[in-house]
Amino acid sequence: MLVASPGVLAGQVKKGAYFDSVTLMTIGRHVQSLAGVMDAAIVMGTAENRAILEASGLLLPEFGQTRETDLLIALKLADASRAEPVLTEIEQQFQLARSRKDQGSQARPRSLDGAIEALPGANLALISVAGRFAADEARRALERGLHVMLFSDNVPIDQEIALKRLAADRGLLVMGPDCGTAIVNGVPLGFANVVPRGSIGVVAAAGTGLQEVATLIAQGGGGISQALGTGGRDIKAKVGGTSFAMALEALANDPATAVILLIAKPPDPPVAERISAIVQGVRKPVVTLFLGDRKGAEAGPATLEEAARAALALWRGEDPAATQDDLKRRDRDQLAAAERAAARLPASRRYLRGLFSGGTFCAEAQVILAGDAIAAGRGFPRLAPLFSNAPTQVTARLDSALVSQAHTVVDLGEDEFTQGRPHPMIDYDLRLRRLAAEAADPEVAVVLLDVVLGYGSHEDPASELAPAIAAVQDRIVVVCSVTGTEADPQSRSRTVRQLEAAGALVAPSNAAACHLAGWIARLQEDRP
Amino acid sequence: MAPMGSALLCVGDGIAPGHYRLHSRFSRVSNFVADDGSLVAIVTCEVGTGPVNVVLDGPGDWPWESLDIALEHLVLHRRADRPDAGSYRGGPDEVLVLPVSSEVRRDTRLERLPAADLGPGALHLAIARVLEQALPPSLACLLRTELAGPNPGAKPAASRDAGGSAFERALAERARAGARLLAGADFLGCARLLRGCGYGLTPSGDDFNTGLLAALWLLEQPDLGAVHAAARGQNVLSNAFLDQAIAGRLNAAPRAFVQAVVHGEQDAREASDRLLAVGATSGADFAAGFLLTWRSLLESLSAPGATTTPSG
Repeated sequence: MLVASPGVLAGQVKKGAYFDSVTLMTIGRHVQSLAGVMDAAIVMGTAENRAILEASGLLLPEFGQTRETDLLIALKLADASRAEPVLTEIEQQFQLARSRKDQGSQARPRSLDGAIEALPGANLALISVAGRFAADEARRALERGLHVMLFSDNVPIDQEIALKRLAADRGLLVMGPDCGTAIVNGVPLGFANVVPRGSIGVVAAAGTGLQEVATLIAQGGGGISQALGTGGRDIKAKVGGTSFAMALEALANDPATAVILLIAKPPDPPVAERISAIVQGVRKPVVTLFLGDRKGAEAGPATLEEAARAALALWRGEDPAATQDDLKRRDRDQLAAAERAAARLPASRRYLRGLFSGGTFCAEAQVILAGDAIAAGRGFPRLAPLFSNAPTQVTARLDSALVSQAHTVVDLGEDEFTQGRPHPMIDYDLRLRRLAAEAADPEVAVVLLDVVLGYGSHEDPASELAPAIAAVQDRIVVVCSVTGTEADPQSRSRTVRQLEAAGALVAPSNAAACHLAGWIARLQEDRP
Repeated sequence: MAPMGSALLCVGDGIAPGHYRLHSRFSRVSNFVADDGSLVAIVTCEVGTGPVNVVLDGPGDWPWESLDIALEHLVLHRRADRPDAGSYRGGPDEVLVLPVSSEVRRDTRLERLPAADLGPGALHLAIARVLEQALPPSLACLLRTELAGPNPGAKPAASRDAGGSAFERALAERARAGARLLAGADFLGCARLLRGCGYGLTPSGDDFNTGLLAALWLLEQPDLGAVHAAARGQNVLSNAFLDQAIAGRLNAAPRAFVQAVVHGEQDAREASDRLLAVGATSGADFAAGFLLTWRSLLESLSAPGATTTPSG
């Protein structure tokens, strides 16, 4: 049963205007995210859609006589004064959709051949089409002698293997499928940040992991020669780490790369052996982080931050182990901050809830909060039981991704959340709803959020998050990490200021945020 | 703008003679509607054959405002009004007359399968492929068995409070209710419930119902006429497709898909992909309607004491 909620109805009928269903849904969701908009629907004016609008409490009197070729815009607003600016924004979105269509048919190449003709010197194709077409396009690109970044997902694994064999035969690299980020010759591709050129090369089978280390290296004064993504499936035994190995060898032979940093979740054993064998032959420093895999790596990094710091130290000619002392000092400061934050919480609030947009961050949180990173010699808190919808070997699977249990970390980029909506790095709607729901749970002490900046991500995440954090910060503690740089379109420092002003504690990295939030929860649990 | 002198490649078998005015124009399709609601679509080769399609050579983006169809020729005009009878004056920039020979006419009717050969064919392969590849706003999610299969009352966890507007939630609930009716072989109830629902120029519910009708036609179901009447609404484009489906006629991509599923052809996967590329979600919505209905019909037929049998 639908329950009526207060609000002011407003809207518009656009005669003879029609757009495809995906465009209408996308614009509708964008409108819902605007300030002062409680609900919105943009649909064609069929009698049945009018009936659904009525049942949804969104039917306006002027919709009564519309036809199926009329476009109906229905808004529920907190305040009538928002009607005009919201309708203006919708009109701009329609114009944008039309201009994209016009550009698509007039200015942009409509095929790979057309693109090659327009840019004869190109040596890399970035392919982002529906998964069912992606492998064919990638194969065509390879046959034309181009390296491929395959942003698309849902490419069958047999097609991935075939593509990588073809590429290897031709000495070409396939990044992906499902490769969301890379920085090639200083150009950010996909979801990527603006970082300086430099001498540290990165190979990553973990998208947000690549973004985290690249931005931390930039913040630490270093730069990136190349950052090559491979897609998470490349390190499975069936694919064999083909792209990972090729990218590693390319950096090993790249004169502009002085230090190599490898980032991945633990590869399947044969792939790990293959990578290890190549690393042993590389005549440059190599830092390896297989998140959660501490076998044979006791002296190596346990977190993305430690890995980035190790690479920076090697680039500077310093001992990577020395960077641990700085982190231990910061850990002590964070423990004091955690004590201050916990002091204002009632004893009944004791659980941590992590709401992540980055899959790698969610995995790193599990490694840290389950205590798997303790071997690094730092005082990480251990929380148990720890649940996730994307569990690693050290955590349990949630019964339902929508319902938290005890300590929970959720990857909102998993398929169950992204069916029918944009990725959570772009669309904060689900995260904001979940944040409010977690704050309403009387057992929750702290919520952990990752905020990812850069190209492709939300253009101003703080404008969405800050009001939501301000609304809950009197009940719980919100801890954020912000992955980005000053040169990113959103500006890291501006984003941090807005989040702190709203009451959030902002940590310098995802690992630091996990450490801080973990200790708050642990201190609460230990209270009598 | 495309060159005016386009060549006629083929003409569908569901086109009625008459005068048609422009209804809607896209880069590869121009839709024309007659006063009685009949539809003709001028389309590019990429769109392909269909019962009401006139396929012209060239990239599309045509300037035509009206269309006259006669038995042996068709005339495209830049003016919306009917010209003086019999006088198609003006240069090729104003009027284009194209002869229609028997060679360019296309049979778009489905082939029924003998009753003895009925079976799941490529049903399961197609369901898996559509679920994997369809765009999320489509009704393809109804193919998940927990929504419309053995336990139709259950909802997958992710569907509960997964955000979106009140309209989206109400629409999703209505679609699930329709799928449950289909699972219980209540085709009439489903068609009535989903008619006209959803986004886009041909709402998802209408595309779904076109697939539903195609499946019913294949098995010559007695309630086909009633379901067709229930599925028809005010949308002239949707109605045109529904009117063709009740005669077993479909556009190229859905036709190839249906044939591949029913006959268990090896290329069912490729046919699924071709269908899913139709419109933003139209192909996926059609696929969902056809596959759910086909599955329901096959289950009815295999049930002990089944009385619903095809006459073929």
